[in-house]
Amino acid sequence: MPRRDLTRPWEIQLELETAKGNHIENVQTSEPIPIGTINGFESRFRRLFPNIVERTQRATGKYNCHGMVFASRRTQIYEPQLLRQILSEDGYTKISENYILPGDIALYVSDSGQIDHSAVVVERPPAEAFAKIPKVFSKWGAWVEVIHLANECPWAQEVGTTIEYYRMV
Amino acid sequence: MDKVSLNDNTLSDIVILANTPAFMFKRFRRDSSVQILASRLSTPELANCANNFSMRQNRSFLDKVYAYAYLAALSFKPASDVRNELRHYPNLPIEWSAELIKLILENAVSETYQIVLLTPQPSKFVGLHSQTSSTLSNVTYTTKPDIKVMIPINNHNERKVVHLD
Repeated sequence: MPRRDLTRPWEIQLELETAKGNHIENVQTSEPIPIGTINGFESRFRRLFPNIVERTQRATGKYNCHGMVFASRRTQIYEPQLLRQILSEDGYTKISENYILPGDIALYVSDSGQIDHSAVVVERPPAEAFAKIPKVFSKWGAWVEVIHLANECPWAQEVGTTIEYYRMV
Repeated sequence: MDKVSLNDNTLSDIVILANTPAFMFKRFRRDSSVQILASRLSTPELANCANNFSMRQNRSFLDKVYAYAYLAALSFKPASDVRNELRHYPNLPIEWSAELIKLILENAVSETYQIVLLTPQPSKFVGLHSQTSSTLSNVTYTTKPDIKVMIPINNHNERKVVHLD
């Protein structure tokens, strides 16, 4: 049964657990963003990232990037430290960028070690490429899902951010 | 209260793009208009405005953005003042408010300092005696007197060292 906090009736929390049965805090919200605001955001971000492809059409805050990757697009996982718990308890293994495959998970880790963003690999980098940058798709906040090169997104451009790849083997 | 104009577009973009409260908080704190807000308004004014914007009937998206801006500005104020003020507003009806308040208190200005006295030892510097000679010789330099430093103690990893004369 979804959990509802009576002091915060606009939010729903789903029963979400790791493979080891530990609960993962999450929240589902449905507060709409006005179309005019979204349009302004889109025009600014399309200029900043001209090569991105929007995979979905409707902006939604129902799930975030971590919810897309680890909770099947049903909810937001908003505590970055819980992602390490998921990686460990669900049995993910870190993969060298030389061995990336479609389906692997890309995590954007800040210089303080916090996971700021997550994505799913859709295309491995060409074997002959000097820089091993795969194509990924990810959910950009409350906007849409976007296909982009792993290094072409706002999170990759934060100073000190590195991208780690994981696979459930 | 001084009128401060916020960077509406930039802050709205951050709210749309934010996937976690931590990301939003980090980006809001970096925004110059939020920093100006923090310098112009007192802690009670900031907390009151955050509450008013989050409580507005038929709250607009921009009201929500402003509520976040006032909350983020609170993190530039002394931690004890912020804690006292936020006691008046235990349940801000805005997404991620509990997580944001935690981040604000972790990042607010610490008022507790650890004073450390550093006594430098005479240092030895090994270097070339002259540019034309290849002979190495030891050169001893005198050091400055004791240095007193104040290290703020808070829950955050960030350490600000304040040198005292």
